[in-house]
Amino acid sequence: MLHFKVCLIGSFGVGKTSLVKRFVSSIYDDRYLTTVGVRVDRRELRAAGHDVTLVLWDLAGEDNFTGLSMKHLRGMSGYILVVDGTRRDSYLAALRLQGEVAAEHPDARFVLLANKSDLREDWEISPIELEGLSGEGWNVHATSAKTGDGVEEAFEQLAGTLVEAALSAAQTA
Amino acid sequence: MADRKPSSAEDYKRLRRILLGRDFDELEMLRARLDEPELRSEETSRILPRAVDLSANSSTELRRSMQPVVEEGLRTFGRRDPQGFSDVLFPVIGPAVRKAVASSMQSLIDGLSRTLEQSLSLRSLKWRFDALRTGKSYGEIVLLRSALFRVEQVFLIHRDTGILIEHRTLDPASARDAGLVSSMLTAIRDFVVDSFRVTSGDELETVQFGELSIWIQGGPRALLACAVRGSAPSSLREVMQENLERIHFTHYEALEQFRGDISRFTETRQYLDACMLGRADESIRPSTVRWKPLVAASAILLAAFLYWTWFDSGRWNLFLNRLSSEAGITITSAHRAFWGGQYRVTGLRDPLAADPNAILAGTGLNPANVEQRWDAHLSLDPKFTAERTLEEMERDLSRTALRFGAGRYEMDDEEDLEDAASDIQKLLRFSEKTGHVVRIAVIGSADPVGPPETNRELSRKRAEWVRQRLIQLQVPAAALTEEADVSGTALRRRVTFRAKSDARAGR
Repeated sequence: MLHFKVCLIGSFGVGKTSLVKRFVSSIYDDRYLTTVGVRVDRRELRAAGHDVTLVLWDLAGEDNFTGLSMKHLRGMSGYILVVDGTRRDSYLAALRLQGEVAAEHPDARFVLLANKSDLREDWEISPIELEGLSGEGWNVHATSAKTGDGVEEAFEQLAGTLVEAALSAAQTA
Repeated sequence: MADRKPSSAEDYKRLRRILLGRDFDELEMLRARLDEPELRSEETSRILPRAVDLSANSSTELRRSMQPVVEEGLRTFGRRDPQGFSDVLFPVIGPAVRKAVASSMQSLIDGLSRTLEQSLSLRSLKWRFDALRTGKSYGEIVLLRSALFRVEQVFLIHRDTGILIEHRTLDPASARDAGLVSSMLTAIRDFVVDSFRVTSGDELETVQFGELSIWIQGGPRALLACAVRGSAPSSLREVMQENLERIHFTHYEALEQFRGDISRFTETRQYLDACMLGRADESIRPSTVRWKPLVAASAILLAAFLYWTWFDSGRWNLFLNRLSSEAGITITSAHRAFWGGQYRVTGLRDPLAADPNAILAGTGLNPANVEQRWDAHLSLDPKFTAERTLEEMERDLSRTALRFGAGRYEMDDEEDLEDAASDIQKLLRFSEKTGHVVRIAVIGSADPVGPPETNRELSRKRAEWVRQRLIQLQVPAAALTEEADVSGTALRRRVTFRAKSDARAGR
């Protein structure tokens, strides 16, 4: 059994918590997010031929990382950048956050989730921009926390990447 | 127009009365009731208690809406009339205060009797002994032994990731959420550190919720957290620290290179189990002295010593008894040292009496541990006087010599022979009375003149002749043996006698 710490990063209100709710059943309620600034959930799944447990740290939505939030990222194997497709500001914030996080955690793998795919007509991000990111090697998924579209696949893909990274690290160690 | 209006209103009224009939009157009556506050109040007062009852039973809505009103009312009452308010509370406060005081008095008395009991009881002595043995203070031992607590769960948490590496619990149902608990615990630790700007290096060590507390022990790569119910002694932290150190020692590399694979840590379970302490579990003792085997060994040694002492003193008494019952031996003093198993006996002993060393050998006592001193004396015991007489007679007989002529083996004058036969018969009769068996050797000798073979033959013949003559003189043949003296010393032409009694042979 492989265990990975995965953080959810994104602006306030982009639907991180809703995405996690789609994916797991939690024992903690939402108050933890506002009090401690983090809520931990867990999901077991099978990826790349291994039993995997993702320990999901849902961080309180912020556009900038304060000291505490940065501390919560410590030791993570991967993270999920979440943007709200209908809010361009959340997209720009995610690009900035990605730069900050990658500088601190260069080994961490990540996926970008463009949420609210059920409201595609209201999107302020163009498909071309997302394709551009994919071209740079980002894993981009359009998801809908409301309908559940793409959520499972996105998590599974990240889990698979993490397994591969862990195995190759173990081999080189 | 002005005249027609009322009439048309009247007409309308009439028309409605025609259409509605009796219902019209009832409607009029209902309207009047609704418009009449006095009447409505009177009616509402009749149904209100029932309505409140129903509402209170079926939902909390009424309670919620009444609550602020009641609270505000109480506040106003308290402000406006403090005396009246305290008068109202008086009957409640009196018993409540009394109850609280009684309860704290009771716990004070309980504590006092516990303290008394602890300072006087056997258990307290045992604790004091434990304190001496382990080098801990008495108070610590009391806390350790009397504290009611139980470690319900132990978490081994990877420091950086907050991932649960290993977990032990009394309640298997809690195992599923342990992974989340460990992560949240890590987050909360960070939260506390950041929120209260603690000194760098300081960490959250305890989280307390009533009687449940979380004890966290931090290490460089991993944390150990114990969920404890009750009040645990501070030595629990030492136990945690010790086991966390062991985990770091045995798994440092695995912790450092941790990539999410927790299967490499199954061996840490033993260290987590070591932290699953509780009142019923005595293993929290910090002492490394295993005192039970020590006490058992001491008990065995003591028992062996006592048994040996008892057994040895039994042997000693046996020895003394045997000595006392022996004729010719008189014990004047006997002494046994308490330690070391040394014995000493002094007394008088007739030379003819039994050998004390032979008696000692028969008892099983170690001769090296027994010091003996015997002074010689002559016993008047009949047994010894008889023996001495017998010895005297034997000595007399051995001095008898029957002389022969040169080259002869027969005596010309047999007077000496007859005297000898008489002495021998006396000796045999006496020995028979005293219970001895005497054998008499008849020893023939020759002078050195002539060839030795001839002399040897002559010696033999002389002995043979004397023996035959003695038999003829009524000496029992069985008591006589014959032999030729071939020793080559003091050779004479003679026959001598040597008596041997079994009494001396046995000594």
